[in-house]
Amino acid sequence: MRSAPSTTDSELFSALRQGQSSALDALFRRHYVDLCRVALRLLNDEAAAEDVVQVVFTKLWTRRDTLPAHIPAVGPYLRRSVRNRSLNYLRDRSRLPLDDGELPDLPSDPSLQPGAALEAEELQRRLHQAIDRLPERCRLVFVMAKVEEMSHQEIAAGLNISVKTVENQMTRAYKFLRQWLAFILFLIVQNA
Amino acid sequence: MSLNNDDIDRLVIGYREEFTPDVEQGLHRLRRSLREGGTVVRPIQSAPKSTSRRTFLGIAAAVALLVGCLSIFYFNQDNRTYLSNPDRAFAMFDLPDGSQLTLQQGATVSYDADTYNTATRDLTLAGQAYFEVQPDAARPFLVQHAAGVLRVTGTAFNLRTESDLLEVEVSEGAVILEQNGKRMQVAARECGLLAPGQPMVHKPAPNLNHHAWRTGELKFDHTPIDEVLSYFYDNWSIECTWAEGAACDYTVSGKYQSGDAGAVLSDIAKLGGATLTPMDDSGKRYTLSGPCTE
Repeated sequence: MRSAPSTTDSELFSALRQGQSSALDALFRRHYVDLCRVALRLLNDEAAAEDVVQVVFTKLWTRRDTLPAHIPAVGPYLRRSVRNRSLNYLRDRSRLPLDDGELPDLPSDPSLQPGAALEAEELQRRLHQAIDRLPERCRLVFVMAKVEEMSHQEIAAGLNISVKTVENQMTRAYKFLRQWLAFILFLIVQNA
Repeated sequence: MSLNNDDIDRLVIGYREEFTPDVEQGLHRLRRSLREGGTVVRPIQSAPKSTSRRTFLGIAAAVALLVGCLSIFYFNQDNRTYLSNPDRAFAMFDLPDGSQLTLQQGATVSYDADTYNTATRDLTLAGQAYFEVQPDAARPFLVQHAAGVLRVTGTAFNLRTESDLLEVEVSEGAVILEQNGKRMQVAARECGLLAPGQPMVHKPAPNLNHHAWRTGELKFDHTPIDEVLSYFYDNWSIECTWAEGAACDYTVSGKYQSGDAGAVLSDIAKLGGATLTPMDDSGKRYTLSGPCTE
C-alpha cells in the first residue's frame, strides 16, 4: 500500500491489520518523531525513548491480528500506547519517583541569567529549563498534565499515587515555575 | 511584572520538541527486529542520573558498558531460537508474542521458532529471568523444565532454574506449577518450588526478594539470617559459610538498596556481631565468623 498524503491514519491502520507492511512503514514515518518526544518527556532518556517506541511498533506488527478493528483516532491511540509503555519501563526499573523531592534554589548559574532583553521564545526556553529542575515526581506530574494532557485520574493511576498527590504536585510545580520566571523577569528589569 | 498559571500553560508548549530522532534509521532498526522474528534486542540503559536511587543493576550495567566487551546473543540452531546473556548484568528481549523477558547474566532462553505462539508459547530457561507475559488465554505460556512445567496465561514473575530446581516468585497475577499430574497455583507475592521427587513447595514472598538481581532492592522483616543469606545466593550466586560451622541465629529487618552486594552483606553480618571475610577475589564466596549478638 502506498502512503499517499491523502491516505488517512485509519486507512493505514486497517491495511496494517491486513498484513501490509508498507502501512506499518507509513505509520512509522508519520508518527515516530512525535512518539519519541512523548516517551522522552516521561523517561528523560533519548535512547530509552526510542527503545520504547520501537517496541510499540514491533508489537503493532506482531499482534496485528488482535488489534481493534476500528480505531477512530490512530495518533492518540499510539500516544497512549507509548505513554503506558514508558510508565511500565520506569516501573519495571524501579525508576518511578517514590518521594516528592526537594525544589532547587532560584537560579544562581550565570548562564541562566537573562540579558537585557528576553524574547518570548527565550522565556519559553527558560521555562523548559525550569521544568527540568523540578523534582522528578513533580516534573512527571506537571508534564503529563500540561503537555500530555492526561487527566489527574490517569496520572494518579500511571504513577501509582493518589489524585490528591497529583493536585499537590501541580500546585507545587506552578508555584515554583511562577517564582522562577518572576526572578528571571526581575533580573531583566534590574539589568535594563 | 509577574506571570500567572495561564502564562505558564502557554509557555510549556514545545517542551522537548527539539528532540528529532532519525526516522529512517529507526525504521531500519524496526525492520531488522521484525526480520528476527519480532525479537527486539535492546542494550541496557545506563543507571539513572539520580544518585539517590542507584541500584545493583545500574552500577553493574555502567561498569559493563565501560568494559566495552559485551555481547548479547540471538541465534538460531535446529529450528530453535536462543536468547542468551553471557556477560551483562541483565539483558532485555521481546518475544514474538509481545511478552518481555529480562535475562540475568549467564541465562539462556530457547524456543521453537516455527511453533512458538501457535497453539502454545513453549520455551525453556537455563538460569534466571524475569518474565512479563502478554495475556493470551488461547495460547498458554509454558516453561518446560526437568522438574515440571510452569503454566501462565498472562502475568509477571521471576523464574530461577538449576538442573534439578525450578523456583518462581510472582509479582503480578498468578502462575500454575505442574508436576506428575499435580497442579499448584502460585499467586502474586508468593513463591513456588519444584524439584524432582520432592513435594511442591508453596510459601509467601511479600518482599519479592528474588527479584533483587534486577531491582536492586532487598527487604527484610524479622527474617532469619539463614533465609537472608539464601537470597544472596539465589540472586547473585554469593555463598556464605559460617566459620567452623558455628552459625549465629538472628533476624534481620530493614530495606537495602545499594550498588555493592558485598557491602550490604557486611552490614547484615555486623547486625549479628559477625565479621564477613572474603574467601577469594571472586566476590562470590565469604566466611562469617565472630561472637553472635543481636
